[in-house]
Amino acid sequence: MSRPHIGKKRKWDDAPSQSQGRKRRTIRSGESSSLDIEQLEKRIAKDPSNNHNDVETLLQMLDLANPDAKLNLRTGIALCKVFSRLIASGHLNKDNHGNNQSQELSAWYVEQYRKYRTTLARLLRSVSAAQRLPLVHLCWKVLEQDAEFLGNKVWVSESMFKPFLSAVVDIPGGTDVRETYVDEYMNQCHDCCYHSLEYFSTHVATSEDGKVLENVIEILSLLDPPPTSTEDLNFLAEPPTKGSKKPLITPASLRRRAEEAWLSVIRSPHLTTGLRKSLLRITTAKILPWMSRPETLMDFLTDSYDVGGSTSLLALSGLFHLITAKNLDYPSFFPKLYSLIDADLLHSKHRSRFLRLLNTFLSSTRLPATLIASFIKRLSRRALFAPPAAIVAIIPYIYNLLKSHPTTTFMIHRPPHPPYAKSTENLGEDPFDMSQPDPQKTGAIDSSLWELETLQSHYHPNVASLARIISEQFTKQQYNIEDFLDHGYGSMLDSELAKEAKKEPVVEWRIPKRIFTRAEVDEEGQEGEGNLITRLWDFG
Amino acid sequence: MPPSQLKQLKASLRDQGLVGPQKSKKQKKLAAKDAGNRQKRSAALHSIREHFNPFEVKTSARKEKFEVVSLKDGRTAKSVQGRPGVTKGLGEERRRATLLKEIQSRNKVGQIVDRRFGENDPTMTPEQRAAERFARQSERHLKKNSIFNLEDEADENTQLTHMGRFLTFGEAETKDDFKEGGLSLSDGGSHGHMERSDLEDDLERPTKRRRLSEDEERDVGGDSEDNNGLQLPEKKKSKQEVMKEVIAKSKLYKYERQQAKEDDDDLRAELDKGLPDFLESIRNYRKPSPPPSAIDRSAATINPDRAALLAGRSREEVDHEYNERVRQMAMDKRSKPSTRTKTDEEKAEEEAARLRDLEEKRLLRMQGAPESSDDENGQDVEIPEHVEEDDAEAFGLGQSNRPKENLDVEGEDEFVLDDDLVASDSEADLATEDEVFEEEEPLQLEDDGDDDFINGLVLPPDATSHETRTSNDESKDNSHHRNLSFTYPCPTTHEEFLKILQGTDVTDVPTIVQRIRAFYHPKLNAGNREKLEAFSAVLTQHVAYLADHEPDAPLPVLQSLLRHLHSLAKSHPPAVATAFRAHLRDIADHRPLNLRAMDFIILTGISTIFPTSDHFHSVVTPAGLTIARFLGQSPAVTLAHLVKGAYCCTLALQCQSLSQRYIPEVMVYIQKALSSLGTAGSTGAASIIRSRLPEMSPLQLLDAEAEPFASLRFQDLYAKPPPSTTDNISDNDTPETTVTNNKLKATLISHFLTLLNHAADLWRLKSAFPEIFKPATLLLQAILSQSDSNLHPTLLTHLQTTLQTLTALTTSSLHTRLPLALHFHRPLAIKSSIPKFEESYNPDHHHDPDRERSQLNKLKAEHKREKKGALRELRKDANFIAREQLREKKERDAAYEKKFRRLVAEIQSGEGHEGKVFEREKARRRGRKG
Repeated sequence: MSRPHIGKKRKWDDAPSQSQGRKRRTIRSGESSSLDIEQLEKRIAKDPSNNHNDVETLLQMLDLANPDAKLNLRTGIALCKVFSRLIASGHLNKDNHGNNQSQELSAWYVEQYRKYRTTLARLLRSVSAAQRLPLVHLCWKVLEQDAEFLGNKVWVSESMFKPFLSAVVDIPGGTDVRETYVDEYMNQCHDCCYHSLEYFSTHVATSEDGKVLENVIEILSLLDPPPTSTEDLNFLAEPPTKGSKKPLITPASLRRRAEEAWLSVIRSPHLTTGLRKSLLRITTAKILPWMSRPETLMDFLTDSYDVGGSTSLLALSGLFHLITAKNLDYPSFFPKLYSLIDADLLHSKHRSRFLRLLNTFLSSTRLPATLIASFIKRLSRRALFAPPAAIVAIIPYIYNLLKSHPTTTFMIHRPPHPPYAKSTENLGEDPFDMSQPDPQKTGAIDSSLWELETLQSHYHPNVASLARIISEQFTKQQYNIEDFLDHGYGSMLDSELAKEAKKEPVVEWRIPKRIFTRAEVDEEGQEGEGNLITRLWDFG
Repeated sequence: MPPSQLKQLKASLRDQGLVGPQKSKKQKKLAAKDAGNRQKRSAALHSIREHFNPFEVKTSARKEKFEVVSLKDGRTAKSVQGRPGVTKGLGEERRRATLLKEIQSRNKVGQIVDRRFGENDPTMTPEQRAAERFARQSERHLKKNSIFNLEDEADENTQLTHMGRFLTFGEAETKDDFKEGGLSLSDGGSHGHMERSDLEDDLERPTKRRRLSEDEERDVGGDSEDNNGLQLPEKKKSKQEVMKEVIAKSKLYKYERQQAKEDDDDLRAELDKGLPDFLESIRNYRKPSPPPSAIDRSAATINPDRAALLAGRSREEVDHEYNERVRQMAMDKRSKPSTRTKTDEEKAEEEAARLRDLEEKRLLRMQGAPESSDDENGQDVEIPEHVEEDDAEAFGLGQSNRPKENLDVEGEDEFVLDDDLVASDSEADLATEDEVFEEEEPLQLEDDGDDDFINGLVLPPDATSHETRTSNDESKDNSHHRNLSFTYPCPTTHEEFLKILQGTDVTDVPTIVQRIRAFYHPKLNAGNREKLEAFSAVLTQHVAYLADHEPDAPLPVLQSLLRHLHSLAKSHPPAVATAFRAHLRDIADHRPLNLRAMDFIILTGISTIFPTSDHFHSVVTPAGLTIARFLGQSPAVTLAHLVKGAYCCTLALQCQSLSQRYIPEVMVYIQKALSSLGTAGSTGAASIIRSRLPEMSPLQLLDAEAEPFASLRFQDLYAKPPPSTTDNISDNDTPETTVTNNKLKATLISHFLTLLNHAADLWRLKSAFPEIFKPATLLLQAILSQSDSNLHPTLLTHLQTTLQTLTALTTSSLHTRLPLALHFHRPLAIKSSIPKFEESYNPDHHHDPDRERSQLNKLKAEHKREKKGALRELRKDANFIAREQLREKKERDAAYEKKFRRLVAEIQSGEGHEGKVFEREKARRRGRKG
C-alpha cells in the first residue's frame, strides 16, 4: 500500500507544469481525435499522479452535446480503463497515511470518477439506438468495477446504479436495452435483480409518466422464473450478511421484492386497458410464479373480469387458477362466463382461447344440467351468425357437452307431448330467454337446438357434414376439441384449394344466354325471375 | 392279469383245432390227404405265429389304464395300433413294383439306352431338343470330315462325275421311276392295281375321289408300297368290289366315247371356220382385211372409265390401283337402315327424360351423395392414412400444409382497411356498342342453350370448307371485322394472347376467341385438345384482365367470353376448373378482403359455369368461401365496400337459390350494412347485431329527399370508386356529390332490404328461421322508430313491407316448427357379457373362435404332417435304392466270382489234362527208352 504512494508522490512532484502546458495545448488545438484519446489514456496509465489533468480533458470530451457518438463511446471506454487502473493502483482510496497533497488528489479523483459515472448515465439517455447497447455494457463494466471498489454499497450509491437503472427504464423505445439488461444482468445477478425490483416498486409508485409503467411491465415480464434455492443465487457484489442473521437476499426475499414490484404496477393509476390486457395475458405464466400470496391478485383479476369484453376473457384463466388452486369464492363466475359469450366472441381472435378455457371450466360432470343447457343454447345461438371456423369449433364441443350431460340431450330429441314438452301447444316458441343473465334461469333445458339443425344446411360442405353429427347416433365418446380450434377462413380456403380434384368437376349443362344483360323479352320467364343478379343489378 | 404266453399259445392252438385229442392213424391220414385242410392249418399256424410275435404288432407305448380314463371322446380302445412288418412288406412290394422299375428303365427306351442328344437333360423342352439335334446334324454335314463319305454328301451339290459328266440317269429315267413303280405294281399281279395304273396313264384328270385315295395310298408310305404289292395277291376280292370295278370300267368307256365325240366336234368346227376362206379361194374373191391395232382392240373390250384410268400409266400400276379399290369396296360396310326419324313428341319426351336425369343427378350431388355408379367407377372411399387420429380430419378440416401467413391468424375483429380503393371518383361510362350485340346475335341464335356451344358455333364436316364458310360468314356479316385475320396461333400464355390482341378492338375479342376455338377444334387435330386446354386457362386470365385493366370493356363482351369459357368447360372441365381455382388462390393470397372488379366477374362466372347447388364442388366451394370471407371480415366502413358487399350478398344468395343453404355471413353483413346506413352509428340498434362493431364512419342516411336509384350499377364495383368514398371527403365535396352520395345510400338501403326479403324467402323453411331473422326484425323496427323523417317515402314503404314479411314468416315458422326429434335411431344393443359355452368342449382340441386363424392352423398342421410323411417316404426310398444297388453289386460280384472260378477251373483242368498227357508221354518215352 505504501509503495505506490511514494511513487505517486514523486511523480506528482516531478512535472506538474509540463502536464499543464500540454493540457493547454491540447485544449487549444481543440481537436479530439481518437489518436489523442489513446495517447491521453496511455499517458495517464504511465503516470497517473501527474497527468491528472488529462483525465479532466477526457471527461470534457465526454460531452453530451458532442454529436460524434462513436467518439463519446470511445472516450467512455478509455476513461473506464483509466479509472480501473487508478482504482487498482489505489489512487482513489482516501488514505489517511498519505500526505495532504495525495489525499487532495485522491479526493479529486473520486470526484472525477463520480462525474464520469453520472455523465455515463446521462449519456445513455441521449445516445442513438445504435450506440446504446455498447454503452449499457460499458455501464455494467463500470458497475462491476464499483462493486469491487464499493462493495455492497454500489446498489445504494446515487452516482451510478440509480441513474443507470432509471435511464434503462426511461429510454423510449429501448426494448433492446431492457432486454439486454434483464437477460444479461438481472437474470444473472440476483442482487442486481433484488435492488432493481426494489427500485421499480418505488419508481412506479412515484412516477407520473405512464411510459415508465409500460417499460417496467416490459422488464418484469422478461424475468426468469424465481430461483428456488439459495445455491442458485449469484451475486455481483459480496452480499451483506448483517452479522449472524440470515442473508439479506434469499429466494423468498427476492420473491417478496418482485411481488411488491408487480403489485405496485397493478395499483398504478396509469394502468390503461391495453396494459391491463397485456398484464392479464401474462398473469398465469409470469406473475403468478412470483407471488408468494397469489390472493393479492384477486381484486385485480375480479375487477378485470368485471370490465367485460376481451379483458374479461383474459382475466379468466388467472381467476380460474385462483378458484381452483387458492379456493377463491367467486359466486358470479358462471353468470359472468355466460355473459362473455356475446355476439363478438365468435368473431374475435380470442375465440380459441376462450373455448379452451370453457372446456376446462365446464369439464366437471357435477355441474347442473340447466347451466350446461344454457351454455349449449347460447353457443348455438351465437353460432348462427358465426364464421365457419367458429361453428366448426363449437359443434364438437356441444357434442361433448351433450354426451357428458345426458339430461341435456332432450335439447336434440324431444317428443312433442307433455312428459317431455311442457305443453302440446306453441311448441315452436323457444322457451329459452336470451336476455336472462343467469344461466340457471334461462329455460334452455326446455328448448331445442334448432340452430344446429339449421347449420346442417350450412353453405360450406365440411361445416354441414360436421353439424350432422348432432343428429347421428352418439357413438363417439368425445371429440378432441383441440383438433377443431385454430381454423380460419384462410386455413379453410387453403385446405380447399390444396385439394387435388380427384374427379372431373361437374359443369352446369346449360349455358345461360345472359349473365350480365337483362333479357329484354322474357322468353324463359323462369330464368329471368330466378336470376337475382340481373334483377338487382344494373349492368348498363 | 392275462394268462402267461405259453398258456395263451396252448389255448389258441386248441381253439384253432391244431392240437386236440389224439387221433387215430386213419384220421391222420385223412387229414393229411385233404389239401384244403392242410392249407387251412398252415394259415392258422401262420396267424398264430404272427399273433405271438411281439415285433409283428405295434401296441400302445403305455399300458392302458382304466376304461374311463383311456376311453376319451368315444375312441375305442385298441391294443393293436399297427402291423409294422406288414406295412413294411407292403411298402417294399410297392417300391419294387414302381421305383425299381423306374430305376431299371432309367435312360432307356424299352430295353435300349437312349443316347440321343439332350434326352437326359430335364431342363430342355422337346422343341429345344429338336432344334438342338437339327443344329448338330447340319453341323455334322458342314464339317465334311471325310470326302469319301458318300452317304453324307449324297444330297450336296457335289455329285459324282465321270469324265466330266454327271453321273445321273437323266430326266427321263427319273420320270420313269413312277412308271416303274406302276409296273412293279402291275407285276404284283393285282388286278385292281393294274386297273388303277392304267387309268392313271390314260386320264389326265382323275376324279377327285380317286385322287384322294391315291394320295392316301402314297401317304401310307413309299417303303411299304412293295410290301403292299406283295400282300395284295393274298387278298381275295369280294363280289361288291368286282361289281364296282365293272361299273368303273363301263363308265370309263363311256367317257372315252364322249371324248372322241368331242374331238370330232372340234375338228368339225375348225373345218367350218376354214370354209369361207376355202369358198373365197374357190371364187377368187378377197375381203379387205380390217386394220389390225392392239390398242383398239383393247379399247373395245374395256369400258371408257377404265380407259381413262389407264391413260398415261403403266398397266401394273393401274391394276394395282384397281385391286386396291376392289379390296376397299369389299371392306366397305354394308349399308344399314338409319335410325328412324323421330316424331316431335318423341323428341320432346327424350328431352324431358334427359332433363329429368340431369335434375336427378343434380339433386344427388346437392345432397352430397356419391355419384351414381353409372358414370363413376365406384365411389372411392377415402381412408385417412393417419395413424394418429385427428377428429377434425374426418370432416376435411385438417390443417393445410401451407405455412401459415399473417392473414391466417384470424383477427376477425381487426380489419384491414385498404385506402387504395378510397380515391377520387369519376363517372364510369359504359359504351354500349350496338355492333357488339349484332355480332353477338348469330352466336346466340346458333346456341340453343344445351347443345355443345361449339357445335352450334362452327364445325362443318371438314376443316377447309369450314374455314371458307366461316370466312364467308364473317365477311358477309361483319364488315368491320375485315381487319381481323382468320387464323390465329393458339396462345398458351396470357402474354401471347395479349400480343395477338394487340391493335384489335375490345369488342372483337369474342370473334377472335371464336375463330381460335374453331380453328383448333379437337376433332381437327390430335394435339388440339391440349392446346384448347391451355387456351381456356388463358381465356380465364383474359376475362380477369379485361375486367381489371379495361373498365370500359362492355359487359356483353365479358358475358360472351364467359359463355365461351362455359362451353370450353364442358369439353375440358379440369382445365377450366384449374384456371378458376388458380384465380381463387390468387385472391386468397393477395387480396382476400379487398376484392376487385375482376374478382367479381370471375366469381359471377363461376356461379354460372359450375353447378352451385352441389354439396361439394372443387371450384364452387372455395369460391363460396372466398365470398363469405369477404363478407365476414371486410370492414363495411365505406360506401364502396358496401356496394361490393351488396354484390357479394347478391351473388351468394343467387348461388343458393336451388340448394337453399344457409350463409351466416350474408345475414351478418346485411344487418351490419343496414345498421350503419340506417341508424346512428354504433349505438342502439347496432348493438343488436354485435355489441362492438368496428369503428365506422357515420354512413347514416340523413337526407329524407334522397330517392333511391332503380338498382345498383355494376360499374360501381370498378376500382374507380363509386360516386362517394368516405364522408369526411364528401364533406368537402360539392353538394352534387353529396346528393349522389345520399342517393346511393338510399339505393343501398333499398337493395339490402330486397336482399333481406329474398333471404327470408330462401330460408323460410329453416327450423331456426325466427332466430336467424330476429336481429334483423329488431333492427328494422329500430330504424323505423328512430328515423321516420330521414327516409324517402318509397324506402319507408319498402322497409315496412319487409318488416311485415319478416314478422309474418316468423310467426308462421313458429307455428309450424316442432321441437327437434333427431334421434329416432334404433337403440344400440347392450353389450352382452355372458360367457359363451361350447357344447362338446374338449381341452385337447383347439377351440379357436377366430375362424380364419383356426383354418390357417389346420392347414399348417396338415402341411407339417404331409411334409413329414414325404420325408419319411423319401428316406425309405433312398434305403430301398441303396439296398437294391447293394444287391445288384453282390450279384455282379457273385457272377464275376463264378466266372472267375470257372475259368480257373477250366485252366486248371486243362493244365491237369496236359500234365497228365505229358506224364503219360514221359512215361511212354521212358517206357520206350526203358
